Amino acid sequence: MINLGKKEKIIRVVFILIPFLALGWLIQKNFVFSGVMEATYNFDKNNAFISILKPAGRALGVEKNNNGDYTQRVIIDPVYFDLYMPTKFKKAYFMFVFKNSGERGIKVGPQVFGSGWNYHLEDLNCDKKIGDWCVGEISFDLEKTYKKDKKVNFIISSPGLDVSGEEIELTQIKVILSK
Amino acid sequence: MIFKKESLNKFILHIISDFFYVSLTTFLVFSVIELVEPRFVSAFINFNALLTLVVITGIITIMKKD
Repeated sequence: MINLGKKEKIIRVVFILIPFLALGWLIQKNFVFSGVMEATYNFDKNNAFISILKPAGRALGVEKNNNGDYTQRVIIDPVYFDLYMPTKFKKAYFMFVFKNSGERGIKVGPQVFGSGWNYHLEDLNCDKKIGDWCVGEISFDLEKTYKKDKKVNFIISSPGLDVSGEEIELTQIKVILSK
Repeated sequence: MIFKKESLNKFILHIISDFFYVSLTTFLVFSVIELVEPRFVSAFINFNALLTLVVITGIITIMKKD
């Protein structure tokens, strides 16, 4: 016979320890003691840090293509997304995986101050290619950005997109935040 | 290693019962933290999954007591 009472006590101690470990893990995740946080949004499911592109109508719903990649198409400019930051960060390095059906330039940027329509725009270029997809990399200084509820609003702009009938298709937004 | 079936069942039910009390307390504490500091917990932990665990283990615990 094996003493189940002793095993029960050990398991009970483990159960009690789990919430404390979870709380410690949450504190570490929220305060990012390492100084660097990474988030990747593949459009397959909701992401806690990077929102879906909005408003609906300008950005179509998330679709799954023949290769199994989830994508979202932008047909009218501009569209927006929110970046949630659990703590303060100084820099954001973005990597966008996208397709641009035309030659029209794409600009991306964070809302900079106040509640007005002020965005610091940077060109999103096709820096390298992965198959048909372009990979564009941009860095932003987050210290002068407008934050509300720990979120920074970003714009993706390509003026005249609706008139041209062209579209921008995104399949991944990756961000590396550093303190 | 020989377990009596009855004592093994009792052991498993006690474990589930303990798990229920711990998960319920965790859920309540995390909910309070979430109210005070929105997204502190929900950005990293799925509340629905935690609540599902609480409900399932809670139902088993109540049935055991009956």
